[in-house]
Amino acid sequence: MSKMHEWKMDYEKLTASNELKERMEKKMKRERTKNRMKKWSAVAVCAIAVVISGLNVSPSFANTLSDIPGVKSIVKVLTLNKYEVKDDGYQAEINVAQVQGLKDKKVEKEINEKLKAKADALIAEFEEGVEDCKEHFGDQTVHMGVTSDYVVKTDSEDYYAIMVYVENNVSTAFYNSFYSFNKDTGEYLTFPSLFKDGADYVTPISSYIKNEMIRLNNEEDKWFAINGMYDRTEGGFEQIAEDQKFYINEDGDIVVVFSKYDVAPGCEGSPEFVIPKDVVKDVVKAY
Amino acid sequence: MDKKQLFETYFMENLDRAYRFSYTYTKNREDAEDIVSESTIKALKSIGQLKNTQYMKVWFYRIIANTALTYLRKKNKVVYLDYDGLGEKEGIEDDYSNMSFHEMIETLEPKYKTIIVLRFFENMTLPEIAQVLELSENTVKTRLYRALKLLKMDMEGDGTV
Repeated sequence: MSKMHEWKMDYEKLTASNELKERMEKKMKRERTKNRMKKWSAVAVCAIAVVISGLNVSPSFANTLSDIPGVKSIVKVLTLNKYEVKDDGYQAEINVAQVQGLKDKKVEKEINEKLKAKADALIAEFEEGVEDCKEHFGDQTVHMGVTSDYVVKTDSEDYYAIMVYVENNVSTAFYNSFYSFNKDTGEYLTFPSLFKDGADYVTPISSYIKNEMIRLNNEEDKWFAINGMYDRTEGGFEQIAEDQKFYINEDGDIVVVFSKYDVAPGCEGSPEFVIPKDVVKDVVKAY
Repeated sequence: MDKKQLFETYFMENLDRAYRFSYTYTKNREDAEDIVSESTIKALKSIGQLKNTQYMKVWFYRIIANTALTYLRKKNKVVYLDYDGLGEKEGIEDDYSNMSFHEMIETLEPKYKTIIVLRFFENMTLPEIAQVLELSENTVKTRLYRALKLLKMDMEGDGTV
């Protein structure tokens, strides 16, 4: 018998303890229950009495969040409507954001209409769920909830940026979108508008992010998925979109944002990459 | 069956193997079981990223390998102290032909050991090993040759001396 074969036999004699086996079996069982609960609550939205505590359209109720003194801070976000439902098993809280102070009123109107439409769709979806549930489950209690709100990400001398997000409290789904503005000019900044006409900004930013992902995977034990690496032939990060999700941070840097689950496991949330000015110095224009 | 269930089935059937592989890194039961447990949690969290379930084993071994390396790095201080005691052994060529399995995994350099384990004990192909260890196939090949040279064995794992 060769040495290698002898070693292999000894290797195969190693077995996990029964205690580990039991622990892992329990863990798997817990996972299965969790899965079932998720599936269950996706269809089941149960309601006994729905209390809509306020769909206040009155402008006097509008909740100004960012009344920052100063000449330049004319761009701001405020809450137009608040839709709130709280009931034993489930709840909804939807704040409808509206922006103000943009130079181009047409663009401002477009953004606000979009924000309003998204919120309306969310409310409709939620209420539909309630009805469905009443039909199927009577007065059983099942947990289900949705939250939508906004966060001011940047409020610096020059820039203003907000993130609007939707969080499903049961499935842990999370969606976000960003709006960035130049306070000086009152302009809404789209991703392509940051770059010189015809410049290839996708390549340098993508390659920077890819290297960052590899570095973070190696050094910080992150789990970024990269197309063509780690035995994956499809999916994972390949390159950014031409109209990539982003915002401008306090330092005026571009921050590229990915949706939850897009390039990393859900536990990483919605990953952000600050792009150093050096990376884009050849393609960027004054924004 | 969804991917998560598929992994659960795979994992429960292969728990001993996962443990064995972890053990070759840690060389003790307690740490090896910690690594299995941590790797499983990571795997369950990121199973959605595994596009092709055919690669389940390679994928899961990669998670174990990474988890084990991070784990050992964290424990490093303790490990390095032990190295001092081994100082006298330096320069003397190890004779693997008389070593037991446990002596071998204690002695062989980690970068060679893992390749020997995956190739000969786990019967993985070179491309598979390359994927588990995130190395190029050429690097794996080179290391395998070097490892076999150290062990004085040929490609079939038979002694040449």
